[in-house]
Amino acid sequence: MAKKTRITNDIRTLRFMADEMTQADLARRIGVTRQTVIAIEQGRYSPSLEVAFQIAHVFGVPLEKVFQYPGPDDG
Amino acid sequence: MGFYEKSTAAMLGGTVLVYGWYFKQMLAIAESTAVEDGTVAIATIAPVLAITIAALVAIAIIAHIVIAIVDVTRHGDVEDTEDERDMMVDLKSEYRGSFVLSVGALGVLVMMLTGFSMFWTANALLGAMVLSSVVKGVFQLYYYRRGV
Repeated sequence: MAKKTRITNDIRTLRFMADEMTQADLARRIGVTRQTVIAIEQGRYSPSLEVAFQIAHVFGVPLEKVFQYPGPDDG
Repeated sequence: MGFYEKSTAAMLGGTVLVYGWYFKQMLAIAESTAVEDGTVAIATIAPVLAITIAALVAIAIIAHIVIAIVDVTRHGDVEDTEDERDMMVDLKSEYRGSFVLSVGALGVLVMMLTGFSMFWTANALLGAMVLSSVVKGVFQLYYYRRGV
């Protein structure tokens, strides 16, 4: 069954800092649907590496600024 | 709710409704007609199946027109491009549905080997295909809602 991913992200914050970019705008720029952006933001979908890098490129930041994954000592 | 999620919900509802009617008709026919005779079986199944397929096509067309109108009204356009999440949802749900179809096909094989008539084996095979489609649709909605 589907389980929530342990990957977290700061897309909502990054959108806010990028002139309050809408989910629809981000979706258009990375070539996915608005629903997929919503699912990624809410942690219901882990995007492919390609889409993850595209998101980082849109905001002009390294991948680790967008997505984080807890290490073995972080629980 | 995205375009494909709405489409899945509409087709799932349509499938349950239309094939529910179909199998109700088949049970009624089985009680009143000599369906053990192969020729009679084909003559009774064919018209009901034709109506069922026509109804499903009509529901699909009407549902997708309505979904497109709702999307244009709410969001200004129709997001009907399948992206990687739609494909992942489709793949994982197809896997669940194909398991049901495989088990159903084995059941039909057993029915054929144990001497069930064409009427029952044909409907059992169709039933397995419909159930597989319903299971796929349910899992698609589950993955869209709960995550994939």
